[in-house]
Amino acid sequence: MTKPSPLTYKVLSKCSSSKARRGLMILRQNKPVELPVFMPVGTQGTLKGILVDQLKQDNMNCQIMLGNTYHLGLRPGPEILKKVNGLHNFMNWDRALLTDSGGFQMVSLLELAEITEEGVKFQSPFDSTKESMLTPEESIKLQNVIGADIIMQLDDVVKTTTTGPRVEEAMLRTIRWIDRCLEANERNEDQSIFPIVQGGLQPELRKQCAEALTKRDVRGFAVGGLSGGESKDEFWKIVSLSTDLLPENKPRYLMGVGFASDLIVCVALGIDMFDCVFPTRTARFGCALVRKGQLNLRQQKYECDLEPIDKRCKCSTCKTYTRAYIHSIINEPLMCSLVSIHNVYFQLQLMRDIREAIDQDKYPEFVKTYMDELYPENKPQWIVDALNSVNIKL
Amino acid sequence: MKFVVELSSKCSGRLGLLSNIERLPERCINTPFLLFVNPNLSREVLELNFCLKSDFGVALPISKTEQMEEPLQLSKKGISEFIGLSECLTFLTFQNTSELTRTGHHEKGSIPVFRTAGKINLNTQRYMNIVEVSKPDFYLSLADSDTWKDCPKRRLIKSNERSQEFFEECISHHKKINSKSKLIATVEGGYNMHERKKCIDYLKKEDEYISGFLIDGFHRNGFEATQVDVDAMTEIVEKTVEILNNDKVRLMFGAYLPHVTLQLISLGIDIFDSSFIQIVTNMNRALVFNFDINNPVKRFPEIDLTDEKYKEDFTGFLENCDCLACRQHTKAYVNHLLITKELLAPMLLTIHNLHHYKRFFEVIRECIKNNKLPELIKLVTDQYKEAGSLIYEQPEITDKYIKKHNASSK
Repeated sequence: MTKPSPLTYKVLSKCSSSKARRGLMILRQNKPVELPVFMPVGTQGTLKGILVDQLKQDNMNCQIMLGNTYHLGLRPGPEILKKVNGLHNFMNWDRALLTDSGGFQMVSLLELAEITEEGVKFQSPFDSTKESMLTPEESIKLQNVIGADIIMQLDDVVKTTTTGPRVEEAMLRTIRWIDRCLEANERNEDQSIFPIVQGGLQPELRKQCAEALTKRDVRGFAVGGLSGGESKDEFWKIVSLSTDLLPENKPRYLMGVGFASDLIVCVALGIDMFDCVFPTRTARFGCALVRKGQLNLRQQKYECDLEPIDKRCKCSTCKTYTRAYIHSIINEPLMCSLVSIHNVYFQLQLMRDIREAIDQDKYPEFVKTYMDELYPENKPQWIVDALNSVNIKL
Repeated sequence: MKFVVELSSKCSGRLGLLSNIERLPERCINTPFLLFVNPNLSREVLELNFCLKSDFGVALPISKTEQMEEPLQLSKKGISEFIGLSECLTFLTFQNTSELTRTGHHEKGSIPVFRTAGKINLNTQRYMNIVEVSKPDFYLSLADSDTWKDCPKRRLIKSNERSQEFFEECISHHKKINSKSKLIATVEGGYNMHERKKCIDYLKKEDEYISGFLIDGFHRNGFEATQVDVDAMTEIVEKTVEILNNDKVRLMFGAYLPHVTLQLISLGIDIFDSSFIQIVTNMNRALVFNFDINNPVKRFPEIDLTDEKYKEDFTGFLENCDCLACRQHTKAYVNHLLITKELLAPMLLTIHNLHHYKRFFEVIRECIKNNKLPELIKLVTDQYKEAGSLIYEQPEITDKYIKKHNASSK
C-alpha cells in the first residue's frame, strides 16, 4: 500500500468577481490548514513569549507555523533534531510546520555570503575562519531532519530592485536548483517541496520561470523575491501575473508578505498562503495591530486609556487587559507576550474573516468595508488599481 | 478580615485560615501560604496552570506598580482588576523582594524606590494615595528596611526611627480613608532584639488597626536573602514571634532557601512571597528538590538548564511533575530556548518552579496537620545542605553586581 499524499489541496469556494479562493489543505496525519492562511513565524522553534497551548486555544486556533532552517540548523542543530525526530517533537507542536530553505537568511544576515552554481557559500556566524557551503541538497537534507510538512527549495535570491542579467541568471539557477532539491528529497512521502517563482520585476522572466516550474511534479508553489523595496505598483502586478501562471489546483504561497492591506489585496489576486515576522516583531516594541493600522502603546496618550487594544477583538489579551495596563508594563517581558498574542490573533482573525467572506461570496463587500475603515480619506492608488484589475471597485 | 489559627504547636508551625476578606468574601486561604510576587505571567498562562479562584495570591511591589496610579485613580476598580487577576488576593508591598535593593540613597520623609525607569523618592502621602486607588486586600506600612546582618548600629537606629515616622503617618491616613485594605505592620530592627522590641512597642499602640505583622529587615532583598545567617535570623524571629499577638497573621518576605523557609514556618510564620522562585528562574534553574516524606529520596535540589548535559535530554525537568512545562516540554528544548535567549524559557521555568513551590506549600500544610513537619524539614535540609555552597555562592555585592543581577531579571 502506498502512503497517502502528504498534501492534498481542494478549492472549496471561489469569489465570483476576483481571483480569491477559499481552500482546504490537508497535510500528513490529517492536519487541516484552512486557506487563505497567515503563518506566524516561530524562527527558533518558538513563537516569542507564547505557549503552544495558547496557539491551540479555540479562539486562536493557529494551524500552521513557520520555522527558519538557517537558525534551526545552527541551534539546536541537526544532530539534536535528528535524535528527537524533528522539530514537531522538539517544540511539542502537533500541527503543521513550514520551513524556508535557509538561503534567504544567509544572504540577508551574513555579509559575506556568495552565491555560486554549487550553492550559497558563507562564513560561520560563530567562527569567521570557517567557510561552509549550503547547496540545494544540503538545504533539503537539513529540512528533512527538521521534518516540516512543507519545505522550500533553495533559490537564488537577488535584491528585488536588482536589474540586468543577474536577475535572469538567478531565475534560471532557481529552475536548475529545484531539480536538485527534488532529487535530494529523501522524505517526499512526508514532506512537500514548494518551488519558488523568481524573475524579479520582469514579467517575461516570471513567466519563463513559472512555466518551467509548473512542469515539475510538486504539490504547491511559492512566489518569491518580492516585498523587498520594490514599488507597490510593480509588486501587485507581479503577484497577479504569477497567480495567472500557476495551476488552479495547487496552493500558492507569497513569501514574506503580512501587512493587512497586502493580505487582502493579494488574496483577491489569488494567493493562499502568507508569512511575515512583522506582527510578532512589532509586538516586541509595544505596537498593537488594529483595523485602522497600529497603536504604539508606548505613547503617553495611552497611560490612562482604559479601553482594550480593540473592543471587538476576542483574543485573551483584549478580554483581560486595557491599553493603560500594557502601557504601564511596557518595559516588562510580559508586555511582549500580551501584544504578541493580540497581533497573532489579529492576523489569524483577519484570515478567518476573509475566508468567511469568500465562502459567502461577499469578498468584494468585505474588502470595501475593510479598506474604508483602514483608509477613511484617500485609498492608496495601487490598492485601487490592483483591486480594480480583479473587478473589485473601491 | 478574619484570621483563625486552627492548629498550633511550639516549634512545629501553625495552620491558619484567612477568611471574610471584604473583596473576596467566599475565599478561604489556608496558611502557611505563598504569594506570587510581581506576577510576570499573563492571566491566560496562569489559568492554564493554576486555579486562580482557589488559593492564588499576588504580592505587588511598588516599584512595579507606582506608574499605575493615574489609570487606577480613573478606573476606580482597583489593582486586582487592572492587572487582570480580580479573583486573586492582592498584597501591596513597598519593596521588590526579588531584586537586590541598593543600600543608602535615603532622603528625609521618603524611601528610595528603584524602578526600571530610575529611582524615585516615595513619601507616605504618595504611598497611601497609591494604596487608596489600588484597593489591595492587604498592604504593608511603609518602612525603612535598609538593614542587614552587619549593618552599623546607627543605621539600625535610624531605620527604626524613620520607620516609626512612616508608620504613624500611614496609620493616620489609614484611619482617615477608612479603606477596606487591611494594614500589615512592618517590624524592623535588624538583628537587634532591643530595636525589635522598640519597634513592636510603637506598632502595638495601634493594635486594633493592624491585621498582621511582616518581620522585615534581615536582608536587602534579591540574592542576599539566600545568604542570610540562618541561626542569627531564626533566633531573632523566635523571640519576635513570642512578643507578637498570636491571633495575627505573620509574614516574612524574601528569597529564603526552602529549608530556611521551613524553619521559619516551624517558628510560626504564616505567609511568604515567591521571590525565591524569581531568583532560581533568573539563574536558569528548575527546582527539583524532593518533598515527598513517604519516599524520602535525596536529589540535587536544583538543576541548571543551561548545562551542556541537558542538550539531548528529552525528558521533563522532574519525573512525575504534572506542571505544564514538564508535561509538554523537555530539558533539551528549554536548554535551546535559554541559549537562544527566547522569552519562552523563563516562562516555562517560572511555571514549573511556581508549581513546584506551591505543591511544596501544600505538603507543608499536610505535614503540620499530621505532625510530620520535622521529617519534611530533615528531608529538605539534607538536600540543600548536601548541595551546599555549590549552588548558592556568596557573590561580592558591588554596584556592578547589582546592575548585572537586576538586569537579568528584566
